[in-house]
Amino acid sequence: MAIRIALAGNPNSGKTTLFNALTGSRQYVGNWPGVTVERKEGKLKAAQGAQGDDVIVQDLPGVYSLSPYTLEEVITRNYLVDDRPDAIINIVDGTNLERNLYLSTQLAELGIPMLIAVNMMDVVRKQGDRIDLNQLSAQMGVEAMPLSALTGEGAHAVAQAAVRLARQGTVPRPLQVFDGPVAHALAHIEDALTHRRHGHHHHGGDVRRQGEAMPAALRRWYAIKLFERDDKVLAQLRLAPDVRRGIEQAIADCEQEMDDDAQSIITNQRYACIQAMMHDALRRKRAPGSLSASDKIDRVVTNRVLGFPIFIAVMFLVYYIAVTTVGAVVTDFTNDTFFGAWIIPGLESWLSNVGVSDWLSGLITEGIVGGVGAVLGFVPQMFVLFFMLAILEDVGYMARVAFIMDRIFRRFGLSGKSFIPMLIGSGCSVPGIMASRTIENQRDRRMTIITTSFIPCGAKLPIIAMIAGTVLGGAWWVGPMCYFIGIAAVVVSGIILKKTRHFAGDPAPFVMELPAYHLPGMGNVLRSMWERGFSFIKRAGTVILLSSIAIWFLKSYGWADGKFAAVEDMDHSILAAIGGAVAPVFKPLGFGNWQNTVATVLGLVAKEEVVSVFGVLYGVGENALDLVEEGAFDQLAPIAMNFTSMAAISFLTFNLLCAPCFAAIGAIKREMSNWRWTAFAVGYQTVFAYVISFIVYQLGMIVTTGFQPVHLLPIALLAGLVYLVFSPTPYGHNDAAPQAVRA
Amino acid sequence: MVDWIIGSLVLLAAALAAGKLIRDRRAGRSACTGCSGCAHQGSCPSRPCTQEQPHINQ
Repeated sequence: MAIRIALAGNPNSGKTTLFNALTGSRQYVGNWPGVTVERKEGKLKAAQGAQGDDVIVQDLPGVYSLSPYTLEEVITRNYLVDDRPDAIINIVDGTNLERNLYLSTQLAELGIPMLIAVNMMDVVRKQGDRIDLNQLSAQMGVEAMPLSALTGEGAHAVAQAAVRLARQGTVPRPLQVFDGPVAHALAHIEDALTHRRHGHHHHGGDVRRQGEAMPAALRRWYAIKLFERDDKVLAQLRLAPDVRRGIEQAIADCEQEMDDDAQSIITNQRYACIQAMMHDALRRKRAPGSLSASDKIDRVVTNRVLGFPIFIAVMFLVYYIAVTTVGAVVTDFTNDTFFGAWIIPGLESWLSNVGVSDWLSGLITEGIVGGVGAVLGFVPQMFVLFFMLAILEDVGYMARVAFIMDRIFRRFGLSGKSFIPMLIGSGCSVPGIMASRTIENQRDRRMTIITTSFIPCGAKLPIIAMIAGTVLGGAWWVGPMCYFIGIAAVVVSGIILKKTRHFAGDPAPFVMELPAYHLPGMGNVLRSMWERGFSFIKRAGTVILLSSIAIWFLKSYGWADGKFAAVEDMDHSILAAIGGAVAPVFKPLGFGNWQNTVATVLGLVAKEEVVSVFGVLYGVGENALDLVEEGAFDQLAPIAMNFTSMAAISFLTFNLLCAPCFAAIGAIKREMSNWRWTAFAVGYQTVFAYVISFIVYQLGMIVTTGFQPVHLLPIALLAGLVYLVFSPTPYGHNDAAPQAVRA
Repeated sequence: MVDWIIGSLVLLAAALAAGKLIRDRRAGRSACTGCSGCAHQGSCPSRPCTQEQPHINQ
């Protein structure tokens, strides 16, 4: 029979690195049943000590504790409590021992053979700190071994020790974490569990009859969870009412004596125990309370006053470099020279020489190359932007952004936890929306799903670059402005929605781990840049290619002289007929012609489609070359002639804020699990985008054309919006809501 | 004749693109979009659910 070993530890402690070292390519990756959390299982390599037995290594999700709050914690503890592996390798980060040992004290209570692998020992030595592993073993009651998972140092010894423990079945000696009234209360609860009678208990949908007393190895663990009033354990055990009353009385007595709540009592006692252990086992080179380099940087970067202005300055710098300077130079070359002067004329010439029909030549050059080329023209800018964002991520700064935003969001009833899906959504809305699963509170999760797509995703960047480049004179501030429009939309929507019954309530507490700053690794940065950029190119080669063919057909054919045929004038095309029918809707927003309407509507297929449509309708680079030959340098590209400056900003605003692409709407439907909520989300986004764009354009017109009576409507709408934002909430709002805490 | 050859190549490209989209959708596969969700969450947020039952946190 196979031996099963579980790898358990905090996130980023090195579990997966060790898992890869122990199992190599003999891995299976799937999902834990019913959830999206990744499940990784592998067979131990013979070289690592398998010795003929099948040794299965299970990489568990990274968790800070075995509480029932997050999906990962529930999965980890269900596996350990119910599936009972033969041994646990508890990986702890040697550079952060105190926090990591919190989980270790809980794992030791499960009655499963266990060893502690203290990882990153190379970093510990480099920092000049010293960990006495013998002392740690003696204090924890389990073997503690050194490990450097990244270099592989110690991995073989750890694996061999775990296999030996599994074969021997040696359970850790009980760790004396609790004392005084807590120990007394726990003893009382354990006693109650020992004499529990027959009863049903519910587990994962299957009803099992528990005919025996509680398994001895787990009694201690269950007693502690009952003391903490763990919802899931209470539901699982289904204790008789008199037993439950007795346990509750024991807990209440302890709480009264210690003047604290049960969960805090347990937490405090665990940390007190860990502190006592560290006194003997850990010697730090740096004096306690002194600041690391990361701490010193964070005092400025996450400063209460400076944090947000620094974030604004960083984003402006990134976009200035990516859009205006380096990125603009390479994109101009791609659009004007590569496509405009080489590809399209060369292709046209070749197709003409081989005798291809005009319609087929038009399909290839205007349709496919025009549409796909318009999107690909922005690839260089995207790569530069992704490169800079990857640097910010690898350095560790982007993690701080969620912390900074939490401080701002919390004032408006939102949580920084909602910002992480938005941060992910700045790459692509689909995973951003799916990342909202990590938000336990259903209200906050729904609100996050609805507002995530307000933050410009990668596909919207070409729209921003196109408008900025062709209409607004290449202004570098357009890009950052769009992000701040998105953030403002999130905040305003959060405030308004929080005043409704379905979304009212306090924001969830937010605790996150800030990784230490480090110099960016070029390998990671380039890999991230490539993956993002290649994904962009792949979409151009699939979705955009197909839709460009369709758009070319629709714009090239229509009814002329009562017959369906190829049309010379696009205004007689099928596309113009469809767009023309919807265009009046967008007239109040300043971009109510059929071309802009078609581009906006087709943005539902993929947001890059907006640029691709203009590319098909006006050609990539062709018209720019004509203008250069005519010497019409002061004339903007045909795309720009579609818009005034205000109309362009209105068009940009609408496309940024309106319903996202079909893929993202599909993700909303999956996460909401409900067509009504999906329709509400899409409807809210579209109406919100329409109202904001309407206000922006019409108030802009007051500046350019002077006040007209019709402008009373946007002023009234703006007043209404202001009222919704500043009116008092009809539902209670706790101003003393927990603040974000840096772990 | 040239129209047929060139036109077939265009149709082939379109068919390949459509086929890739359909295959990816059926397999529940979403290519990496570089959203860096893995960096923030430890696993790819785009990986679809394998079962129909409600999520634990719903």
